[in-house]
Amino acid sequence: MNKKYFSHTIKDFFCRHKIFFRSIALLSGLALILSVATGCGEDVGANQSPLPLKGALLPHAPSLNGAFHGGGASSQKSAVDVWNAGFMRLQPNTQLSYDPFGSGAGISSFLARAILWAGTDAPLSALQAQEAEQTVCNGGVIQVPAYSSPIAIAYNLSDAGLNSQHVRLTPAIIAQIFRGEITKWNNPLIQKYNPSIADKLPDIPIIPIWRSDKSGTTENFSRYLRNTAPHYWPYTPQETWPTTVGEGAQGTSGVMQTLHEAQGTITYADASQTQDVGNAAIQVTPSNKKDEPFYSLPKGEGVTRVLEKSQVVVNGKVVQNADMPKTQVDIPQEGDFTPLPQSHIEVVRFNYHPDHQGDYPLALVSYDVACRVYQDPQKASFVKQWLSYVESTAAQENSELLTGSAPLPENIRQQALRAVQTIEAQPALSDEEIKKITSTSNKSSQSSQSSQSSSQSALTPVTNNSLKVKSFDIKKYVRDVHKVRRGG
Amino acid sequence: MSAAEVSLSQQKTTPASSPENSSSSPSPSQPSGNSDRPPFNFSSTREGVMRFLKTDNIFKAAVIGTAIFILAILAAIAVFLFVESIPVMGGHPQEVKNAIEAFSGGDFHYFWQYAGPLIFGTLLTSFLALGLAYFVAIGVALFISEYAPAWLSKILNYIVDLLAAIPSVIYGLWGALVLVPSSFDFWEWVHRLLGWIPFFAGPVSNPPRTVATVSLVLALMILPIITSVARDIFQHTPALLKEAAYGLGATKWEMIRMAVLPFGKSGLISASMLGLGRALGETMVVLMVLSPGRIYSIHLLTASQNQTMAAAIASQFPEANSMGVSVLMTIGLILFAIMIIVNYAARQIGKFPKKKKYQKIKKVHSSSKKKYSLAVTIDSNSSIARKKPRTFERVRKVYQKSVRLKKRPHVSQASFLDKTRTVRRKIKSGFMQALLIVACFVAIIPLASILWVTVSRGSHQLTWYFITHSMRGVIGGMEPYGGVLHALIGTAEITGAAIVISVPLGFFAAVYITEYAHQNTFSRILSFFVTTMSGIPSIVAGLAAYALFSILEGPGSMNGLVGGAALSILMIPTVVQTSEEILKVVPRDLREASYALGISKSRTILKVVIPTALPGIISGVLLAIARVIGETAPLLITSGIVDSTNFNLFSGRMTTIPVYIYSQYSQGSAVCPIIDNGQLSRTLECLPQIRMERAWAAALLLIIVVLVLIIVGRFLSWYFSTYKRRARRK
Repeated sequence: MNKKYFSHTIKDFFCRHKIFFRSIALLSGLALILSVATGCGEDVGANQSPLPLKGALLPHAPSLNGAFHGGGASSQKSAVDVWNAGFMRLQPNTQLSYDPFGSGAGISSFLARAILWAGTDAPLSALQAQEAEQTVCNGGVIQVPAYSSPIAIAYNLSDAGLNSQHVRLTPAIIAQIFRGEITKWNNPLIQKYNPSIADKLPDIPIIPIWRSDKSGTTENFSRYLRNTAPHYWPYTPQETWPTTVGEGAQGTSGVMQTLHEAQGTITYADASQTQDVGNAAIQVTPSNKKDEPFYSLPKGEGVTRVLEKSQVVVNGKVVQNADMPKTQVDIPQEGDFTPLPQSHIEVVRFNYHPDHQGDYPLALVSYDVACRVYQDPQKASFVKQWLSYVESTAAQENSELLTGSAPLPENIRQQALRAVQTIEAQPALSDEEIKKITSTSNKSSQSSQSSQSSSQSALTPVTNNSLKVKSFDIKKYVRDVHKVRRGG
Repeated sequence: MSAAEVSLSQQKTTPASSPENSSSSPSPSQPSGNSDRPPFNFSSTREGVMRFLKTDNIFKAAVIGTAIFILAILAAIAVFLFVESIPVMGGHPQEVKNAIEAFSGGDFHYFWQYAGPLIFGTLLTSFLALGLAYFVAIGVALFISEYAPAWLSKILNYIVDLLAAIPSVIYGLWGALVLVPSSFDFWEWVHRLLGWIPFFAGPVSNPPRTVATVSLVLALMILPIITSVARDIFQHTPALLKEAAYGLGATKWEMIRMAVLPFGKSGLISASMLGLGRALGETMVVLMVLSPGRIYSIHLLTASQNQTMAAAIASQFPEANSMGVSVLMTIGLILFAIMIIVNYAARQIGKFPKKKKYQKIKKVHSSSKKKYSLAVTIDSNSSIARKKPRTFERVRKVYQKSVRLKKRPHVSQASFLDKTRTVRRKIKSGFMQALLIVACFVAIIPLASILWVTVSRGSHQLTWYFITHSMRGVIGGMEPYGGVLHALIGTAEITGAAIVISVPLGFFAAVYITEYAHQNTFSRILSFFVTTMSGIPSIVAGLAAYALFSILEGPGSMNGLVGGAALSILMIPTVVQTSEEILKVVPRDLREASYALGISKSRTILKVVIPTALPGIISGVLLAIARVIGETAPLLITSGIVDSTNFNLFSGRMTTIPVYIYSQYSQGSAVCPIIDNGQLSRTLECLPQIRMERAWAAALLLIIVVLVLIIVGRFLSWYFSTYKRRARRK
């Protein structure tokens, strides 16, 4: 064995083998291309819509810079596209992205701080709200309705020439159709409510089509049936469709695709997608039993009027339209969780018995969830401006025009805007500051016992004890923080 | 600098000086000489370190380390899935119940109630798909390898390679938008014809979003995979076997039955397992075509009966809470376990009948030696019998088969030339040939339809504008229509990440298997697990990557790197297997020559083996990329969907082309506003179906990218092989 001959060193290994040279060259070449591409600027390939989009910023809103990410409910996606285009006009240096991967994943990403705000079809459950307050949003959670859109009962009877006619259906009939109890289009019950087209209703089976993925549309439709036809619809409203009668399809597009593929199909879908098929006129029973029931079509303004008359619940308390007729199944509020006082968890309870002709009580309401306090002032400013813009008349009108959504009524928007105004920046406290607050509040307050607990909960509102959370005083907390910052 | 030069020059001179050195001073004396030197001498320390860090040792350590690392990855996948699924087994029962009830619409309350029908549905659809695809695939493979003229089989080879690489999302698009609306009449006909079989009983659903339709699409998907493997095996049937069969007077079909099919039997089983694996883990097709149900049902023609595990994971994942994600992870773990069982079973099946047959032959052999006289004559003529006893054995087998075929156990050669039966046999052969051609058409028509639909619907939108713009700032169906740039960049980066992770790992593992492990236990375990890994359903790879990054970076983290990690899990086995094949083909003589010149093992591998194998490896890697670039399901759950261009692999969501296709498809038709203002309606153009057009255009783009990769890969391997030949001639 010869030493010199066999001892090839690391250097030899890396420098004298052409393969390694070449592969390193290849990799660095790739990296170079990527870095050059990155250097091109952040807004590669962006489009500018020629649409005249209305809207204005808040007074004295600072200009923003940077990229901001949100995500969640796919129902909001097209509206967010419109709002995004309008918002870009006002804040041209911002980059905003919205990933429509679903409400549940949106909330998880929000809780993992991956996104700044989340869109969700289902309002936060008590558990989620608690988790949010304890992890990402120590300064409180804000949940406001952002988007609403009528859900149409769409059907395909093009061979019978009924797509342009609006077949009239009552909630009870709809429930029986989707449970598979009414199976033919020429069922006497359907004929009874459609005297003018009774002879045109074909003798073909009704094929109910439902969403096979979890969706807010399903939950809202199911809740509508549970409230308007409780005898025929025994299921608890859920994001998963409860029966397997008929056919399931993935997503709104899958549902609409399936609808087109056969005669006699019927489904529920966002009204913006059902323009080229038949839309049923649904029967609405007014709360005043003396009034005649009327039939209405999925139109945005009908939904807006219903929302105006619907109950608005903030942090578990009814704040608007308390006199609305009671609904059978509300949005669940399980658990005895009480949100932080500075949280604003707003939920809309639908009025299923509106009185006005043309009111349409079957709709989806989608919410935006954000934190009240962000550590980064840019982020806080962005969320505040963005949500204010979303809740503005102009943005809601834009989305109505371009996506067929129902604009939120004035009262709900104002309620939401008031909450959005409280969003602020609050840099994280250092350990020293925390100590100072503890000491100052000890000195300043008369009963040291209670202030101790209050300041503790101020710093760590992660306590599960709701008593402690309740006794927390946000104003004092802010005062204390300011004192410390001023050096007091 | 100067020291480096000196060492370089020393090394350069080593080959020349080494023989003299070795002859003059024996190597054992060298170390003692070193130890005499003062301990703080720089050069001696350096030399010592150098000797310790011999390239050979480092290289070997690196190679073995890689091999172990790959096993660790596989273990990690199982462990991460397991860790994520602990809450289902050990968590709060009420929470698990809630999650299950949320998934099943309140029908089920316990995990197994929910998982059982999913397992059943998965097995049903995939075995059905395998049953449909298997015989057609073998027919196509036989046609390519045995019947088609050279030019035709070359073209067919390209087509099969391309089809094997068509992304599943395109099959899904085709199934949902083309096959489902047009296949109702066909299924009704099947029902009328075969309604007495319970499988085809029951009402025929319209539209047929049924298990039958899904299985058909899945069969089309796995058809090219099985075909390409089967074709490779058939083409490697030794010519001698075929000649022997012909020599016995066999017709072409008899030759195939006697020589080609038995030769490829075990290979066919592994090919079908590959197809089965893909069908088991297929997500997008099922997601886009099947109307899911929650029961155990064998009514194939009725909708809303079954659901598969992969599709359930993909459809529930976006809306699942943390417990829901755990439930889905558990389902992923079960799917993973099923894959391992199937793989293991395939290995056992591949081994089992061989032994049995061999024993039988031995028995027959001992009972009457007469029968083999003919085979022996043929064989002795070619004088291979002495050199290759295994081939000899095969010819015996062929003869034995031929005898059985005639159902006369003790006949001589004469029976084959039996004039009375010749016509019948010829007709049979011709009939089989016709059948194979029909199989070819059966396979090619739907696949041609996929390509045609994609081209005809996608070419309209596929413009330069489409390639150079992202979807940022696009509203509904209005102008500007937007494009695919962000998805192109995302695809490049995520696939690049997957390459950077998987190619070195896979390659070194292959080097370990071929060069260092001489069929030892560890290498056998490694290659078994690599095969297992090749069967990992893509959605499980996605879940594993998601779980890994959830643990590392916190739950819900999605970025390009997670997607890259998921894809590299899918790429590693392909890279290992192709590299292994090609390294094995490198002639032993080259290595021997190198060793004879006294060159170390690592140097031999780096300087001789790898350069020889490089073109093959590159083309293999390119084919692997072509397969992986179309993955949708794992990226949906790991990298997310965005509209704007994101260059940063390490943060923020990133869209790839397949995900873009799916997201465009799933958004449905766009709203075109009815604007009263006449001025506006004149300036605005709006297409309600723009999203479908974008989906098809992106699909076409993806197919073109895949095609280019395949052609480049093939060209490279062709160029280098002919280059070598040319160089040798010179």
